[in-house]
Amino acid sequence: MSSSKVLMPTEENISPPAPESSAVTSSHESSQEETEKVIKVNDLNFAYDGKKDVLRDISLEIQGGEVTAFIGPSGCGKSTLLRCFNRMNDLIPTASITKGSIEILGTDIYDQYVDEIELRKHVGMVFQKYNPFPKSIYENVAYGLRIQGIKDKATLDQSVEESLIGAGLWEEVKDRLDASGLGLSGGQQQRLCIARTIAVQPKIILMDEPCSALDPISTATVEDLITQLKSKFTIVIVTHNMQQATRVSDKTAFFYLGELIEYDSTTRLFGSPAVKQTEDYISGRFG
Amino acid sequence: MNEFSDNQILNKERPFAPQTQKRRQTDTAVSWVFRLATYGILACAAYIFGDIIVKGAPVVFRAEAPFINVEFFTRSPETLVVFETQDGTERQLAFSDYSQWKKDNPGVEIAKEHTHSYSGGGILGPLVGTALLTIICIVIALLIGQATAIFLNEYSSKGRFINVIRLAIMNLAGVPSVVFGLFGLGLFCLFFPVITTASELRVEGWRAIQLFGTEKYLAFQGWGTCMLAGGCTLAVMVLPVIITACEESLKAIPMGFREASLALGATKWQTIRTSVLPYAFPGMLTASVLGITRVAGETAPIMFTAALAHKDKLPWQGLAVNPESGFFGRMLSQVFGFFTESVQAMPYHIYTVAARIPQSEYTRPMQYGSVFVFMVLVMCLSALSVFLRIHYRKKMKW
Amino acid sequence: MSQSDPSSTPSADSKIRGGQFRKKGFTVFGLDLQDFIRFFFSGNASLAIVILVLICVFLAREALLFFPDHHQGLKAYRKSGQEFVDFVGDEVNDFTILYSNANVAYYAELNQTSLEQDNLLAAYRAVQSLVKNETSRVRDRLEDHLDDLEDVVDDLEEAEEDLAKLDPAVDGEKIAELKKEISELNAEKQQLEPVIAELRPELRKASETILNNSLTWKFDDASLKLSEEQREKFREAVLRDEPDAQGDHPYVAELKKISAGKKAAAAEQLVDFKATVTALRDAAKPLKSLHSKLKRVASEAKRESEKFDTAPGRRAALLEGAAKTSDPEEKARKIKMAEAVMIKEPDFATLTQPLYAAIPEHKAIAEKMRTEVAALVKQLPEKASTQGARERLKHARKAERTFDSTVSASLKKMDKWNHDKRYSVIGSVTAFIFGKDWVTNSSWHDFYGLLPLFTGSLMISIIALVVAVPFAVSAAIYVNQLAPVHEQNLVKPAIEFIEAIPSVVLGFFGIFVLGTMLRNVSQVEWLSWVPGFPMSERLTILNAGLLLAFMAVPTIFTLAEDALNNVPGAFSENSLALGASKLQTVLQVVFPTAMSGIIAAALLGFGRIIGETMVVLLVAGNKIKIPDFSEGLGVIAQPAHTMTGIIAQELGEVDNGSLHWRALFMVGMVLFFISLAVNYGAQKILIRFQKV
Repeated sequence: MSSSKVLMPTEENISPPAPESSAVTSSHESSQEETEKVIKVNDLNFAYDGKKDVLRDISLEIQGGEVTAFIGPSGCGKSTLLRCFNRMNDLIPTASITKGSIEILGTDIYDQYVDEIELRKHVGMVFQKYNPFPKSIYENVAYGLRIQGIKDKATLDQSVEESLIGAGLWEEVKDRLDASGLGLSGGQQQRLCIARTIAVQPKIILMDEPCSALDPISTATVEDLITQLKSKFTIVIVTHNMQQATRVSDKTAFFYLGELIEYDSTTRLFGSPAVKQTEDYISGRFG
Repeated sequence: MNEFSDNQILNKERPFAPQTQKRRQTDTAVSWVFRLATYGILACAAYIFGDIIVKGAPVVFRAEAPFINVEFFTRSPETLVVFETQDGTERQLAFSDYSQWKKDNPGVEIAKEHTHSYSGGGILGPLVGTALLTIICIVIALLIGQATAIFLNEYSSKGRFINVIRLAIMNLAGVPSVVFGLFGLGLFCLFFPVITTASELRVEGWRAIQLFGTEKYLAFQGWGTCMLAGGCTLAVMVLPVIITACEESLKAIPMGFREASLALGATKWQTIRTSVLPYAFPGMLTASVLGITRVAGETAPIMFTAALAHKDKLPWQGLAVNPESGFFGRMLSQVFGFFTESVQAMPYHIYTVAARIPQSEYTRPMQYGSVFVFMVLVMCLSALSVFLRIHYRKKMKW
Repeated sequence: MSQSDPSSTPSADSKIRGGQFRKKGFTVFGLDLQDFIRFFFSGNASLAIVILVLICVFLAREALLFFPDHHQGLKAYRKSGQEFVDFVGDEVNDFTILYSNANVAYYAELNQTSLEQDNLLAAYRAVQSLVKNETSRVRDRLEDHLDDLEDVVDDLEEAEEDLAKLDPAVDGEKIAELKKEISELNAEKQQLEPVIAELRPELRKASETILNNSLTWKFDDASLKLSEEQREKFREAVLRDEPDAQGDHPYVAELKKISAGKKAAAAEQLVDFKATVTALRDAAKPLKSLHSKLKRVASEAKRESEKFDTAPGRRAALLEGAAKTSDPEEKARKIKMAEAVMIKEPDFATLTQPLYAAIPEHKAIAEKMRTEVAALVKQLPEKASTQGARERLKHARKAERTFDSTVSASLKKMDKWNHDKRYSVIGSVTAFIFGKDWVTNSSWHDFYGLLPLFTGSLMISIIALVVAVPFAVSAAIYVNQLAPVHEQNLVKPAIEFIEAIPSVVLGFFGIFVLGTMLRNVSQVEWLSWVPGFPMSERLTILNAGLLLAFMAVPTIFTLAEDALNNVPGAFSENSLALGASKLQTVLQVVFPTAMSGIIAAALLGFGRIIGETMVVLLVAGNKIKIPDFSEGLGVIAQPAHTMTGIIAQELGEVDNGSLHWRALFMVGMVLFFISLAVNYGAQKILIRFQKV
């Protein structure tokens, strides 16, 4: 419990969009403005093979406590950008950013002093294909805490319960925490993965098409969950589904062929897009 | 002729009528050629198995309880003495039994006797030797092989280094086993360092280094013909098999496990330890059984590095101990002494009884019995590895 | 640490670099625990490279030292004049081939008339020895008892004679003694007789069983085409053969008589032939005696040379011994002995002088012999009545030409020969790679020539491949394309299972079952068209080749099946959609597409076969000789030795570090490179295949 109690106020302080409320982060960083912009991408280029850029000149700022959706046709680079945020792209040996930088909570995350492992503790990720470990539900949620060296049973119990409650799964699984995580339904498995992610108390949760493998009812549950989580976490979601973007997100960014075409509040982007390509895409003329 | 034209007319009227008889016959005939080739191979295998089982099983099994020939499994090979007493009864006894028998029956005159080397007793020594060699080999090969597989599958990035490693592994897999034997002889038996006293020093110059302040030398004179050398040689030989099998088991684990773990802030090693290795365990088990199967049957690499045709004692019997040294010194010298014992081994034993002694009705039980036991053992292991592979492939679905 | 990272710019204010994402935990020289773990794993992986390099180093260390020693040996071979003598030796060898061919042709002609009887007799002896072997237990016991009985009967007779001689009046006591002895002997006799009477039918029954079940006899019986009456007699002759049987069975005796008679008649016909053959033998006598004379000279020179080569070593050993002894007298003696060791190089010019002197003599002998032999070979009959004799005569004529050219070559070589001529280093390499002899532990000169071993390995591998590839590929096609799924699931693991059979078990099978079986099958008459049949040996190239084929089948099968599996399904779907039958699709679309994969499979199979040791060691016959290709394909019925086999066989018996030991390592190195080349080739083909 203690760990979550310490961090909890931080989240609550970030979450309101009001610019003057961030207390903890401002102790690290001088500027209040930067706190509010949880993620800041400056003129970023990225290449998988070190030569051919798949992202070009991306600049955007993501507000804390909001849900930001990345939309765009397949292969436009939205998932790549998302994976840059917690440096999952490091797993591909030749991939690297070729220009620009990404700042998260005021820190350049591609700085050589940044440890990607520390980074990922703060920037969690939920994947397209739900991927619980073949362990019990309890162990799945506790996994992140265990690898951080937390062994105290009471702390773990508390944290697991809170995370499962947070992911809206507690009522469904509280009687069978020792059952295998693989025995749950698809939607439940995805929520289990979300519970696993929030258990380590990240500040930002990245979601890479979290509902694409789910049926409509499970999708609705996960979408509800996302709106609830908004109060505690900054969420960036990549989606193919434009209705989903309108349902869950506050801001939307439209990518096309590796470039950021338009970035605006969701209502404005879908209501009156400023760029022709965006309009074509959301009205279904291509993609 | 008439029939043929009929057929044609028919075909014109019914365009989807079956193919002409002739073409279908050719198809069937050619298919049968392939089928016969396939079953020909299996028939050969069945014949070999059958021959060895029919001639070997009677040696091992008995009609009455305990249904197996206990002596065959509890004694080491000895010279067989066949003799006839005055009353015309013929007896076959292993040499040690024969001496005992002579002592017990001093009055009995022996009319005729002839000996057959390696044909008496049982196969305990070779079985023990093969088991020890295999265990040493698998422990070493699994440690190195698993680590290599982890590196190749989890850590490596594309590049020159990895290409060279892969090339080396692939080529290692093709090297003839007898060349591994030469290599093991040169490296382990004749070169690897041992700590020894001046009296047992067999090398000079830079290969003998006096340890500071003691009478002992670190001598690059090799371990001699011993099971450690044999086990290491076999380990080197089986390494490509183990690496490939371990890598396969690692590859079968979904990328999602690793990604999920990493995204939770686990370090690489934490990820491997907690979300990869536990699930790769069945694969590793299969790999080790596969490795054992390969290793247990090999003869050429141990011919000059570990195996002896004849040895009275089992490897742990009669180890020389220096009474002056302390407890640890004694332990150490005992352990080292144990591993530097030479052993008998099943495949080498079979080679000996097949090539060095003539066939006769007296030697045949030993010959066929050994082959039968050995083949059954190796085949069971092989079947186990096939079973494990199929079993876990079915079970591992995530 | 972070991966290579072009965006990070070094900055002065390192205090807050990394901010809250800064790495925690210890580092040593900028490396943390993760790096050490990584290095541990990569170190293990590099072991594969290290091992490969070590294999190269340890093979190369011994193998490359081989050439200087080998060179040394060859230099001694030249200096001592052994090379010179072997020029004459070549002539003698070639002549021997000629002569033995002519001789065999003569006997083929001679025996041809009595062939029927001889075959029967040979079959009789074969079956007889088989029966004798298999019934040895009963037979030996019977024999022992018969011996005993004989002794008893002898003693009895003696005693009775003695008894008759004695005068009852004088030697009453002795008579009583003798009588007692006689009665004892009689009792013994009575004891033995029923045992023998019991054993006789037992032996007969055992023999009958063997005879009835013997495959050899069945094959002989089939090929001899005996009449019912003859067969009965034949069986009777075999069964009658008890230990105390006197002489031959009348049937056998008759056969022998007929055979001898026919031979004698034939010999009269062939008297000219015989005279020619004898004349041939006599013609070679001067050359042979010259050869042995020169051999003695060269051997003497060689001994001197060896003495000189080992002198420093012996001297050092003596001096060392002297240094160690405390007894001054002994010490002085040893030092004296050491000084006595001759280190002066022997004068090879003097030693080889007799050889130079023999050149004109040899020339005269050789020229004379050459004309004589040519004339005599012309006298050999042009026509022969048997196929065998014709073949042999043909060979003899061919050998005459070889002999003639060898003589010219030798004459030239001898004129040019000089014991002091340098032996080139390349010469010692080629002498190894292309050397036709592998002779070790010889009293004359040790030759280390790879060719006999290489040809043996190659021939066995080729036979194995020729047999294995069609079977394995057919099976792959059947299993992958034609068989129903449930059959696939059964057959595939079953064939892969074969791979687990240990090679030593297959070798065992080759010795105990396949060898005898092949020989028996080869003696069936209607199979005699097969090259090499009938075979006289059990352990042959063919036997080893077949077993290795069996071993290679699973390897080739698995890889070929993979290749077929990798053919995109769209190919065969398209073909089927065009109206091709399943089989047409398989043979014309799938198979050609998978072709390069199948070739790679065959190549890898070849690599496995040529490196296989135990089967060839046990089954190939281990005769170090280049197989005689003059018999065409029949060469497969000969025994051979292989590169792998020679290492396994000889390495355990040679001194560590000797020339022979190094030669074996050199053979290992050749094997190593062959396997690398085969592997490399297969990989290249596979890579090309994957690109398609």
